[in-house]
Formats: sequence, structure tokens, C-alpha cells
Amino acid sequence: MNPAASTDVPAVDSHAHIYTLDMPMSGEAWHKPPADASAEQYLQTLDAHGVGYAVMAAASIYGDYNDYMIDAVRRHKRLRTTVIIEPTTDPYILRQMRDDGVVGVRLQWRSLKTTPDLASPEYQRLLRRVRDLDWHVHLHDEGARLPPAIAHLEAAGVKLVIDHFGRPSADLGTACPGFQAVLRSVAGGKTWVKLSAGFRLKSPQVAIDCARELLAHAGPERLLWGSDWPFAAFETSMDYQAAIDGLKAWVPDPQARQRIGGETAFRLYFA
Amino acid sequence: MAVRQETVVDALVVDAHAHVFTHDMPVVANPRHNPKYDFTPEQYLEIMDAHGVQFAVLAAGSPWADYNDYMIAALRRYPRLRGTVIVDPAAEKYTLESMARDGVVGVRLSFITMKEVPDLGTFAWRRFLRRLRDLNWHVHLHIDGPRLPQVLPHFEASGVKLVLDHYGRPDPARGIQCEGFQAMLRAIERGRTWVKVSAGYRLGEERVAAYGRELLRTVGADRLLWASDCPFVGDEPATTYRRTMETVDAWMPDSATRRKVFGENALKLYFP
Repeated sequence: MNPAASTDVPAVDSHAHIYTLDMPMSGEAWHKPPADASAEQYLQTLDAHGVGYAVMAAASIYGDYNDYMIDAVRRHKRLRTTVIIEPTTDPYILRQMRDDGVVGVRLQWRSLKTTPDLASPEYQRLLRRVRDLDWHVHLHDEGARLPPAIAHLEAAGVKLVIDHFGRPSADLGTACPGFQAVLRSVAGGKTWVKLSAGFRLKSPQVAIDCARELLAHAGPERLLWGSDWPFAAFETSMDYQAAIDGLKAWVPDPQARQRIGGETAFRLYFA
Repeated sequence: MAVRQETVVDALVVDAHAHVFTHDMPVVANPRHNPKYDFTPEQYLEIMDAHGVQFAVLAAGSPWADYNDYMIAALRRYPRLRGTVIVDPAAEKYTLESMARDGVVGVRLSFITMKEVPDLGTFAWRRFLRRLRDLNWHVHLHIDGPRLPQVLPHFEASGVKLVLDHYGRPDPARGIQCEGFQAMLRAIERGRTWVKVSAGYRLGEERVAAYGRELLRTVGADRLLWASDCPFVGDEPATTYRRTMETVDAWMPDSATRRKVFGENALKLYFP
């Protein structure tokens, strides 16, 4: 093994999904996967690329059937996961989830027509519980809905992880108000942004531009790398090596890359 | 150790269905039954011992809905017992796992008391059935035979094990020709459905002997489970525990079949 090459692979993949096709799909599923993406297949992929640790993201297509991921994090201590839950979930259940390796609650809002009210008593209570558990909120949304959501989450005092560069809009790029709100938030110290799923953005250049801005505002202490394996809806055009190579394109400085793929993620998810 | 004065079957015997309760447990509005006496696990264990019954499965009773607490306390105390519970389909994985550690092996769906059966195609129900499958539990379904065909495909699609109460409760006018009974036979053949040969005292002993013989003839003995339905709520004085065994013993063709129906099948299913 080439030691120089091995050190330039992220230690932590902060975003991937695992599932099997026979899991119950929610009525609103936006995507029907073509094949299983099992925990075992994912671990093999990590091993094949020398990635040591990973955080699974709850996928909206399975609603709050988090059970498969929870079983995986119980078995494999190198894995953590976020979950999709009802805001009324009992705190004793949340504690058991934490003991099993759950590290946050995913608000998978991008596919929703209308989003829940974070100012409601149920969500205010959930956010307080998230904070009490030292979890984070894992937010996936875009555009004009991001700024008010970020404001609510900052006010609640929770750690916040924003998916996929904050998903700048195709026409505005870094000038997108959502992305600008993300930039302001990372400067505040409790918000992290994932450099991930660049293939979902309008062009490779948008991802490079966003990464440059994020690095300038936040530095590598607030950035994470995620593969988004198994690349839902891009299953045939993406592969894991391309996801690793994406980070090199977005973050040219190898030391910054090492922080992003290693220490920053490890502190946030595995501390 | 009680003397086995009342032994009918001289082999391992598992009672797949009995209830325990006290008269002061909370009862739902308009209960199907509302017994005014206590039937404790200790009373039941005495009856088991007197009849040579080694293991048993306690069934959640619809009058008490999801107040499973008394039954679960019994499962914790007596490893000879397992149980099925009534829970909301939104029950959390963690809650169900705790129950499993205490001896719960399935969920009872008492659709017979409902005017409309729930829509099992919703995400909430598919998630629930998947959780039961993940736990290697079974669905313990009490439904009138004629409505069985409309729910059966959902259970089979989920991959969960299914146990039907009381011969599948065919329409008495049509008996073994009832579509529900026929659908049950086909499901049993596919391998994930079991049926309790029980409650003959409710359905008529002549009738159930015909159901039983038809089951043996068409699907064999591997998915049949004898059960007492003790303490025969609603028919207490007339039915005896011994009689529930004799009613089934009457149509057993040989001792190998008898051993399966009275014990071996249930041991594999409920005490894996």
C-alpha cells in the first residue's frame, strides 16, 4: 500500500445510506432504489477504499423505519447514524437510540411540499431533547426555506449539520440566499456543512465555488465529507472513488482535506 | 407436583392459547366479554400441571386492549409461558424488543370485534408488520373467516408469520367450503401460516371435527396447534379443560399426528 495515497483518503464518510429492497417504503417515496445497499455491501466498499468510519443518513423513502440502520450501528461500532422520528418520540426511546449509536435527527425536508413548524411546542421540545443528548440536527433542504429553518435551529441551541453544500439553486449558485444563510451560520460555531453529493448540483464548478466560499468562511473545522453512497438516482453514473476524488477537487489543500475527512468528523460524530 | 389425573395426551403438550386476568383490570368500553372473576397465572399453571401440559402461550384479550401488563408480569415470572400482546401499530422497535426479552412472541390482532378492518397497506401498518418480522414474532389474528381473504395478502406480502385463531372461524353455513377457510388452506401450504384447533366449544364440536379432518387431509399436521382457550370465558361451567383436549384428540389419526398438534409444532413456533 502506498502510504502517501492512503493518508489522502478521508477517515470518515459522513453521509451514506443503507437499505434492502424489502424494507417498507413510505407512501411519499421520491425514489425507488434499483438494488439492495446493505450494511455489508457498504462496509466492503469502505474497506476497499480504506475509509475507517461512517455516518449513515436516514433516508426519507423509508420514513421512520430506522430499524435496519439501528441494527447496523449496534453491530458495527465504526458506524453511527441519524434517524427520522416523530417530534413526540419518548425521551427514553431517544436515550436508547443514543446508546446504540444514533447521533442526530434528520430533517429530510427537501422532498416535502410543506415543512413542519419548528416553533411548535412539539418541535421546540424535540430540539431541546436533541441538545440535551448532545445530538445534532441533520438538515436537508434548499433555497428560500433554509434561512428560517437555520434561524430556528440556531435559536434552539442545537448543533446543526447541513447536507450537500446547502444545495445552492441552479441559477444563483453561491449567490443563492439559502447558501448565503449557510455561510453566515457556519461562522457561528455550531453549524457544520457537508461537502457531499456534488453530482446533485448543477455543475462541478458550482461545487468548487461553494467549497471555496465555505472554506473561506468556516475553515476545515466546520466542513465534513460524505460520499452519499449508493448515489440514489445516480447509481450508474457515480462510484465511490469518484466521490473521494470530488473532495480533492473541492479542497485542493491536502492538510485541510485531512481535517475535513478526519478530525472534524471524528469529533462531531464519534466523540 | 400435581398428579396428572386428567392426562389425555401422553407426550409433550403445549397449550397455544389461554388467558389470565383479574376482575379489576381496566376494561374497554363495550367489551366482548367482561369476566367478573380472577383467573391468575398460578391458577392456570395448576390446571396445566393437572393435565400434563408443560408449556403455554397466553393470549392478549380484547376486553383489556393494550393493558398487557398483567400478562407480561406473568411471563417474567414463569419461563414456561410465552405471550401475545395487543399494541398500537406505531409501537417503537425498542418497546417491542423489551417485550421480546420478557417472553412476548407475537401481536394479537382482534379484527373480529371491528366493523371495518384497518387498511393494512398504509406505511404505518407495513412498518409495523416489518418490525414483527424483524423480531421473528408472529401475528396472532382473530378474524371471522369470510373476511380473511381481504387481509391475508397483506400479511403474506410482509413476510411475517401468521397464526389464525379457532380453525379460521369459517362461516358455519358454508364450513370447509367457506372462501376464508379455503384461503387459509392455501396460505398454510405456502408455509408461513399456522392455525389453532381450538374453541370447539364456541364453534360446535361436530363442526370442528369436520374442519380438523379437512385440515389434516389437505395441509397435513405441521401447521396445526392445539389450544384450550382456557378459562373459556362466556362458557365457563359447561367447558372443561379435559374436554378441549378430547375434542381434538377425537380426530387424531395416529400418535405422530397427535404429538405434532398437541406439542411439537407449538414448541418450535413459540419457544424457538
